[in-house]
Amino acid sequence: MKSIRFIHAADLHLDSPFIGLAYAPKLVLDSIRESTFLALDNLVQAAIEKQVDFVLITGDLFDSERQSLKAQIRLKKAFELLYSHEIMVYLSYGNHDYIKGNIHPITYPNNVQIFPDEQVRSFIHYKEDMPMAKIYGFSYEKRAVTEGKAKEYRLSDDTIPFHIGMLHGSIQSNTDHDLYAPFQLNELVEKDFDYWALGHIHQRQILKESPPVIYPGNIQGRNRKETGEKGCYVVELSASSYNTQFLPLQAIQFSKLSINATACIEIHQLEEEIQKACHHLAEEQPHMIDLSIVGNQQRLSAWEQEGLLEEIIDVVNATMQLETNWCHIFRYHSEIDYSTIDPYLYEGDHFIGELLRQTDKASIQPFLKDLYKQKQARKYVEMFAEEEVEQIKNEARHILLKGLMEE
Amino acid sequence: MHITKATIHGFGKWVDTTVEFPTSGPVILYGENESGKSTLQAFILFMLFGLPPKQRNFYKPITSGKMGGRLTILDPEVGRYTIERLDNLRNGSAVCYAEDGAEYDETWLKSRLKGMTDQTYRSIYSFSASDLAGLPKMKEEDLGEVLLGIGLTGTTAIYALESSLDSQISRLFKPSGKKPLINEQINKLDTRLGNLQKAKEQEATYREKKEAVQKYTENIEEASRTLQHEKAILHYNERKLQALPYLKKYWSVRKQLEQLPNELPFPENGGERMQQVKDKLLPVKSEYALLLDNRDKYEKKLYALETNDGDSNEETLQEAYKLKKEAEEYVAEKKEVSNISKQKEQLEFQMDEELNQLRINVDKVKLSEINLPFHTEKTWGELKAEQDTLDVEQSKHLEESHQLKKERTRLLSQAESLEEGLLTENRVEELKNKIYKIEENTVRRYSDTESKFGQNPLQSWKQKKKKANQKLFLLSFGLAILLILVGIIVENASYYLFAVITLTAGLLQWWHGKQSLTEIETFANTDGVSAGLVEKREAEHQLLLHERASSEIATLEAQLKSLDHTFALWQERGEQFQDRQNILTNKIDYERAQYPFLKGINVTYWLEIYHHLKHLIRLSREENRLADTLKQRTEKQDRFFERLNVFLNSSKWGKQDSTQEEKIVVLEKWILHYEENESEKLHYQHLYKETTEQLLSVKKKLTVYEETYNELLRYAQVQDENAYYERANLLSEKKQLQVTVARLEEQLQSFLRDENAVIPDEPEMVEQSNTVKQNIALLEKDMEDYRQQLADVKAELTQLEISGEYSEAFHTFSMEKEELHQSVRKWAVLKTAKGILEETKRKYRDKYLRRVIEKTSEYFYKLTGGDYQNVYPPVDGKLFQVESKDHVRYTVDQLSQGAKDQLYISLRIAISNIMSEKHRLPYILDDAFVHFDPTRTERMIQLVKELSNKQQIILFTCKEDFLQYFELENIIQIKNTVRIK
Repeated sequence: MKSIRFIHAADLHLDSPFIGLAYAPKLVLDSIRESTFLALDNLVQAAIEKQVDFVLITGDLFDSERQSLKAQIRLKKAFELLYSHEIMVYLSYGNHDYIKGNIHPITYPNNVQIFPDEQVRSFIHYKEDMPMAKIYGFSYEKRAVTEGKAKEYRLSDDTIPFHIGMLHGSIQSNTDHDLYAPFQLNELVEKDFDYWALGHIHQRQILKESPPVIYPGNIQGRNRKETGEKGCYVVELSASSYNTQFLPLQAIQFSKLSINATACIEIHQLEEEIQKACHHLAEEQPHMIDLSIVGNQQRLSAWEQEGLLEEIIDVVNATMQLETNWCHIFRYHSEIDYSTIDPYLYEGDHFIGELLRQTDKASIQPFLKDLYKQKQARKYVEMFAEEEVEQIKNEARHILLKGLMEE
Repeated sequence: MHITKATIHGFGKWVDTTVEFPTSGPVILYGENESGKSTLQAFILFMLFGLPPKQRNFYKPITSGKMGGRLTILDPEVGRYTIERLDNLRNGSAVCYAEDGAEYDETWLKSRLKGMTDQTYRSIYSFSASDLAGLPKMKEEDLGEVLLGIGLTGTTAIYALESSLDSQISRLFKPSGKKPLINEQINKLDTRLGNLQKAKEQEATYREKKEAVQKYTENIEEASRTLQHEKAILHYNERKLQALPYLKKYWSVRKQLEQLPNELPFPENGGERMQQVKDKLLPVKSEYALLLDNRDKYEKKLYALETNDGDSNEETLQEAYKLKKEAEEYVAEKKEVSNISKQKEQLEFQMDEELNQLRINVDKVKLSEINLPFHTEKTWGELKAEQDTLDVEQSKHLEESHQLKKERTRLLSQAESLEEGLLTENRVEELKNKIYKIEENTVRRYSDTESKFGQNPLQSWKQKKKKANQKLFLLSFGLAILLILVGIIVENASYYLFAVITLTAGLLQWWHGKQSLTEIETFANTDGVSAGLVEKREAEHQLLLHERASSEIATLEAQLKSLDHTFALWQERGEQFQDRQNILTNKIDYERAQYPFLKGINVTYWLEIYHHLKHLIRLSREENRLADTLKQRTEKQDRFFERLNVFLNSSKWGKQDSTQEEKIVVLEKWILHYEENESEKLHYQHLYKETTEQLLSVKKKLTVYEETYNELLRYAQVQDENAYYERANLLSEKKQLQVTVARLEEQLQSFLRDENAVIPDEPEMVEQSNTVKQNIALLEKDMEDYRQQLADVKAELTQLEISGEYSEAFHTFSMEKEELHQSVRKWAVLKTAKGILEETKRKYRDKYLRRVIEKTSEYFYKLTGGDYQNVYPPVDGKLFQVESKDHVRYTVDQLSQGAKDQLYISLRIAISNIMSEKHRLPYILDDAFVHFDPTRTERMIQLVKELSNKQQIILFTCKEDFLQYFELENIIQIKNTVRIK
């Protein structure tokens, strides 16, 4: 019976920092720094335990823009371990680890086959000296590949049982990520390949079941939006069937946590609630928590205003970081609705009506020029995204309304 | 907008109360403290803007379950409508009932209120004494801003908010500061970035270091190669020094060799081969001589044998053999001839005996002539059988004739007896007539009635009868034919007889039927009456008897006829027998003519005679054959002896008088002698031939060896054996020298290649070795250095690989950057709030302030009784200013407290007035002037009255004094005795 088993992963982004983490104690920060590598170790361990024939990594193994030697050294060590178990690695470089951006001369062991350029090429995988699979792919030479590459994939030599396409790029419907090497699903499906190993989009998704067209997502969450389990797919192909199984690899899990504070009269009750929920969540592995608190608006608002909320989050974090499976609340916000304003307020000729109308019209940039015109600050301070500008305005309006109306 | 009626179902202390508001002028709500004024005020606000559940709960009456009420409003735009709010219905939201019966919801109400909310309403349209209480506490410099804020919003909130924002902002960031959070963070990031860059540069050296590793590795390899080369040279030199004596020897041997002739032709292994040839040649030569002797001996012996043989030759010998064979045959045949003659005699005797027994006219001679062909036996047998059959059939035939005659006699006698009983014809006729007449009489009696139907039963009965008769006849006729056919098939005459009988019976029956019919007809047709029934029956009986007898006679006659027919057949058969007898007799006669001995012998015995004769003929033939054989044998013997005589006479062995047997013995002796002589001759011939062959082969061998011998001499280019051996010795000497040279060459191989015939100089070589040794020492030191450098770089590389310093720095950096980002965000929010607030203030001022100040001036003038005529808003950091009637301007802080209060009130009223242009909401004053003296109070009330023309003004007061200023119809007294305990 001819069959192959392999692991499909992508977007390892080794040693890349966590976006949106403002403060963390050293212990947590160390764990976070190590997390992408731990996930990689988990990947290697899985490959060995599952006795796969080979491992496919579809791009963005590390970030060339922040050349981290550590990332590549650890990658090399991982490959060497796979080499000692005679597991092949086929990899292509993506928009983050594009070939020309790589400054460190690291040589990987012989089991690693790298697609050398932007031309779609193929490798043949041999199993017991029989050609078993043909793997097609390309690597990014420059930061961006903007043209569609799907049409360059051509199935050849159909005496080989399995044909697998590796493609680092975006499906045209996705707008969350930069649109590189765009393709449409039907372009891939009509190629008659047995499996499409995609990369680039960090949210895992099965675009199609048969033949499997899969984004495995990244192996370790790196910002608050990348929540839940992260990992790779273990794929088994045989002449008549295929089997894909998701395998979580993340060392730290990002989670959204919502706490209902309606029943909390005192702030310490809320603290207990949060503590309990965090314990429950981080039973099996460390968690980075994006906390949202719902409850009595006035009370929450007051706690927030008085800085009590921040205080208890600090306390909770300090307690939780001592656990093996630590828990760190890296972001919290109380669900205070700043945006919905009584629409009739707008109509009034009174000051508040005028204020609201003014807020809508206002552009925040002129207010912030104090900071932005400072040379030193400009180096580090980024412009706010449109969405963020809106939030800032909402919050500003909230402060104003509260100040003017609640004496 | 005017409130005309408030119906309270339950709100605080108010339960089921209705308050009617006056339609024009101010509304004065008077009540003592705790009389529920504030609650009523809260109720109005609740009706207009609603309340959150918690506050609704607070206002739930203790004495009643109901909470809520109705508020009727007169709106200049939409007319009168009533707002209803109930706590337990629709979650406290409003329903509005218009006069025309239409119902509206909260949204509609809000649109009527044109964006006014509880808060804004309170700040603009309500004013109480406590609002003034804060004024004196203000810092003087802030007063202007506060008043401006009041001028804009009716409250002091703007000022408070601005101050709070400012302080928060400055805690976060100052453009030129170090302490604020963001400034601090930025400084920290600068340090971080420095570290990061350093780490990055450190990592960037990775490639450099890798290249250095490559370079050092190559250097080491290069040095190592050179070192090996140098060492090889040294080694070579040292060995060469050691090999010097051998080199010398080598060259001397080479010289010796050169003196020897170049070419020394000599066969390979020459000496040995010569000895071998000689060893083999000698015995062959002696063998050759011996064989020659033997051959001569055999030749002589053969000649002797040839002469001894005489006249005899191959032909005579063959004749002798043939005769000998025939002699053997003669002896055997002699016995046989006597046997055959004995057999013949026996046969003759037997034949004589048998012929005598048979006693027929045949003797031995005739016997051999008789010819009995194959069919004779069958023919005679058939004749005999035919004769026997004929005899049997004739006797049967005779018997049949007797039987027929007897049967005929019996039938005739039977017929005679029957004929006697028959009636005469006349008598029969007579009887018939009689019956007919009787019947006709009977019929006539019924004829009248019967003739009506045209057909009488008699007629139909006759028809039926006739048909039956015909059927019967046809049946008998068919049966007769069937019987005849059966008779023909079975060939039995008796069937014919039955056929005739059947036919006859059928005919008779038919005839009888017809007769009786005719009779009946006759009888039926006869005229007259019958002689009576008895007579008729008698006649019928007689006729019946008669008919029966005549039918029996007819049967008998038929039988007789058939018998006659049978007889005729019998006679025919008799004639056939006679014919067959004649034919048979002819055949017998014919046979007798053929074989005359049959005459007088009955044909019945012919078969036996045939068998006897057959046997005899066989015997006679045997005898004849034996006689022939005998004759042949005797002739053959005679011929043999004649030839024997001729043969013996031709040789010297023959003797005329000897007997036949003796002659045969002589013949045998001759043959024996001849055979012996021949075998000896053959033996010698064989020996001679063998010897000749051996001689030939020995001669060949001899030639081969001699040729080899000569060949060896020729190859060595010498004439004799002696010279040959001399050459052999010379050759072995040369070979030994060559071996020595080869051995030395092998040993000195490396030294002989380049410098051919030159013998190296020893001191020079020692010097060279020393130089090389120095080089080696230098190279080894270089290599050691390279190795050290390589190890250093590698250590550095490893350090780089494991350090992760950059990685760590980067993570910290990006985290702190995020921290900064969050601080900046916080700051941005505050800064935006502040910015918007300022902007709105400016806008609002531009839009309304002028008008507000105009109104303020007007009211301030009225309230101060004309002491002040103008109010100026703050410009360019200056405070509020007022102008006195003598055109002196005072800043607001220079005013007395009373004047400040009046200015404040003027501002509040001015704003509400300006706002009322759009909203036209009732203005609520809650004991606003408690601290005013009577003059000011009066002025104030004057103003209130004036204002109430434009908008409804609701004045809550606990001062009874106030009431005197107003018309009674405008005053509502609150007399709620319920007290909260």
